[in-house]
Amino acid sequence: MGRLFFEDSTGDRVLTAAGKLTIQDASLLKDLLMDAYSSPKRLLVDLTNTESLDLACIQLLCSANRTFRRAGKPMGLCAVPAGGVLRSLEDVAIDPASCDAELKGHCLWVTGGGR
Amino acid sequence: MTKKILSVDDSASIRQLVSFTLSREGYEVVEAVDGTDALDKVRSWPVDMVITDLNMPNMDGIELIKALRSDPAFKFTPIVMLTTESVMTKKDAGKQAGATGWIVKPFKPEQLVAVVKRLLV
Amino acid sequence: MMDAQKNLYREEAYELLAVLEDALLELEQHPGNMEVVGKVFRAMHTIKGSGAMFGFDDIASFTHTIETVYDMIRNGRLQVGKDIISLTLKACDHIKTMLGTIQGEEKADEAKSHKLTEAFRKFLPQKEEETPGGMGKSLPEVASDRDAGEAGTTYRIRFKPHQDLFSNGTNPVPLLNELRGLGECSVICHLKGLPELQEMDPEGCYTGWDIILTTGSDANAIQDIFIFVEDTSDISIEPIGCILQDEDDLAYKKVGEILLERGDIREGDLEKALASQKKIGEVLVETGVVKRSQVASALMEQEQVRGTRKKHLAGDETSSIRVPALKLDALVNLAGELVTVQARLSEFSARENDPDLMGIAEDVEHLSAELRDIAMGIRMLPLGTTFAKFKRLVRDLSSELGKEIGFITEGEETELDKTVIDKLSDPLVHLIRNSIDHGIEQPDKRIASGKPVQGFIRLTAEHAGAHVLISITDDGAGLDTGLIRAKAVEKGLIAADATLTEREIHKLIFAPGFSTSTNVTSVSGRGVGMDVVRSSIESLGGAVEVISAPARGTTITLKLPLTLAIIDGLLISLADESFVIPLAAVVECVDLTGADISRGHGRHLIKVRDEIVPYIHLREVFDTRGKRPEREQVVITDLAGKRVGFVVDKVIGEHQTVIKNLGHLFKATNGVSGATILGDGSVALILDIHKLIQQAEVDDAA
Repeated sequence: MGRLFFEDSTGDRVLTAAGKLTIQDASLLKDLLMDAYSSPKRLLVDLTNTESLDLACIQLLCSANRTFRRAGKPMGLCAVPAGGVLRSLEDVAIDPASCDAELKGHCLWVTGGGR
Repeated sequence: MTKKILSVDDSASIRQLVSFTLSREGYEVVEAVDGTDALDKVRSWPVDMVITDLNMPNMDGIELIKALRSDPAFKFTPIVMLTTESVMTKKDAGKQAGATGWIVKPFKPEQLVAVVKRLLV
Repeated sequence: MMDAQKNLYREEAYELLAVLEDALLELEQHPGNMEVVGKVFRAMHTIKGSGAMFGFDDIASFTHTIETVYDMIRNGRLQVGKDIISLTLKACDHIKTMLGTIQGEEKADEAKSHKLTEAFRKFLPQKEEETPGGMGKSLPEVASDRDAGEAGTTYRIRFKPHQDLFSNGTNPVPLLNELRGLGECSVICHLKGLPELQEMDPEGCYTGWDIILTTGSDANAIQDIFIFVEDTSDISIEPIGCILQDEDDLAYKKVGEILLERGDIREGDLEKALASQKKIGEVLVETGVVKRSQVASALMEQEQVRGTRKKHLAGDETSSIRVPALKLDALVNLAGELVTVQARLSEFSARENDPDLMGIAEDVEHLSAELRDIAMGIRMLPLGTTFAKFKRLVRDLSSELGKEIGFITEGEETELDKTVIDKLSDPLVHLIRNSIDHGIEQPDKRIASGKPVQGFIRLTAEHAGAHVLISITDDGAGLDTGLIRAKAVEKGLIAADATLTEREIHKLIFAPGFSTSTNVTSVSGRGVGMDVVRSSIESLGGAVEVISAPARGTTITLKLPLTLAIIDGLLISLADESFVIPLAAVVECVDLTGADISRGHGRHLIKVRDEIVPYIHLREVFDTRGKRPEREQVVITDLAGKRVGFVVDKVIGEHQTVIKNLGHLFKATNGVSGATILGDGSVALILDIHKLIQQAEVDDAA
């Protein structure tokens, strides 16, 4: 199980995901993302202390990035994610170059999202 | 980090085989004699995987799987059932209850290892 | 033990270490790849095993613990991490030192061996140390048969789990990893079914995969991997190419066909897309018929099938023998001479007009040409090993500088003459260092400019006629024209008000003594840079070119001749002497008329297509006797963008030239790089136009 929590600063809402994030955390992750979606603040996701992410969590972040983008709401990564995150993406073979999400150039994992 | 596996079987020799094979592969194995014992053990000893026989006294494998799946902490834990070829219906019942995979008895140690690797990240 | 045998071991060990390093770097990228783990294990095993046999006991005992560690990784009892890989790389370096010091009296650093061994021991459980390779049999179907498994068939696997895949505790990652362990495997993930955040079941699976797997295992083994998810997924496994097909069946399926076969598109879509002249994949994505990932997946399949077939055709690389390079040089030399003698024979037989003799001459011509090609071919080596060296360089330097850099190589199979390859290493090191140091930006800067955090450097090689093009591309900041210009003015290379095109400014980086690095780092040098690269490439008869776009990156291309021993030349004459000008440098030939000379006002200038070109009178350079012919010709050459003409009596024509080294008597002859023997037995000197131009510049200044 990982740890998920918000930290608000002026203008930004930082969602920190630390430890090993698995499907056990997915429901909470979705709730937090939805919460951020209805907030006027910019959402930054902090994956710098993430050991790993499983597919359920990766899916949620990809979907959120797309949904936020479509609604014109800013969302992005607040810093370069930890190596474990990149390994997790590799494990499920996510290749940003062929991303489906009509997000060419705005994939969360390539550019840190459309900030 | 060492992965923890719970081996549930009323046959001591099967438990021992599972335990011996998997600890040789670097896993940490704890044993339980039936479903009730298993539920008791996982409460104090969180595991990454459960390997359970289906036919057991007190609480059988199917019931154990159902109980584990209804506990949020074990909703997504891989569960392997040990079944015999002759009782296909049992296998289907196990799948229905939420088993992740199965091993048909009798099995060779390397088959067990292969299945564990297939299901554990 | 005989020294020759020890040397053989040493040579072998160096090769194994290169393989090992390569595998380790790959492992770092794909820690789950059991095939690579197996490779590392086997390399260590061989180093250890034959080390003991050849009396290198210190190496054998040193590698023992490392082997044990990798045996555990192989059996899945230990996870590979950066720490183990870095440690193993250090161990490789140490083994190299041990190999080097063996012959001398001095013992290799035992304290260091001990320290490294201790570090490896930390990864082992307490009682494990004494049983190296002991448990190796536990999972035979995964690792052990890889050697023999000559990767037979390529399968296209589509794995589309149902939404409820996770609900029984299934995680698809180990399945994908198991497939990756079966052979050469490319996986591409489809997220097209991903719903909007609001509508998403956080515990549902919306992802699917296309997997292209080339493996020696059969379809049953693949099916077996999916046995637990058959009810909760749509799975299809189809063989798409058996590599043992006939050679003439080498037409690869087109992307459109692959998509059609997979049912991603319908016949009508394909026809429509084909009607427009653009790339089919692009059209299909634009019109929304397929998703980008589907096209990428089809392309991936095409690529892998092509790669597998190529490998198969390349045949068994292991059956080879070792020959000293000197013997090869002698063979090439003799083959060259045979070609010359054959040319004389052909001329003679033509003169004699004897049909029998002409028949023999023709046969000799074919045979000697073939012999020469083969002899030259033997000296050709693939660039692979040279390229592999740079992986380590990129890794070490990028981590030193805190940059994330992916390194991609393409065309490792491209072959070049060994002599050329040997001289290529230093310039390439320099260029890659430059890309790492000056090209790729720091991660924060990259993020700020909307680029992927990870930069990349691409090293590619490809054939282009009689040349090989080697390119180093980075997606960094590009050349800073302003900075280059300022520096060039400061160094007095150009006038402050000179008008230069962007290209001309870029070329300035190759000027002697030029360096834009404001502070000298340990990575890229201190001003002895690109000019050295340029001159060493030019000394190989090659050329350097640079293309750069701000914020997009820089590409530097080296154009190299396939081989040094044969060049395409232009045969010219001065009085009754013949000379050869390397054809690579020749742009065109024009007549030199009296009118042109007078326009030059006594200075050596000629107007060619409205451009003033300086020229050198070869008669003057070689003190040629006799009267100048009425109509002379000028051969215009281009070296590094500078045009210079050479006035000759007569241009005879193109000539394939076998270069012979001039004896040391001719060492003093400036402006000549070698000689060749013509069909009539006479000798023609090969001009070193680079030297000739330099010399002329010196004379001018004097």
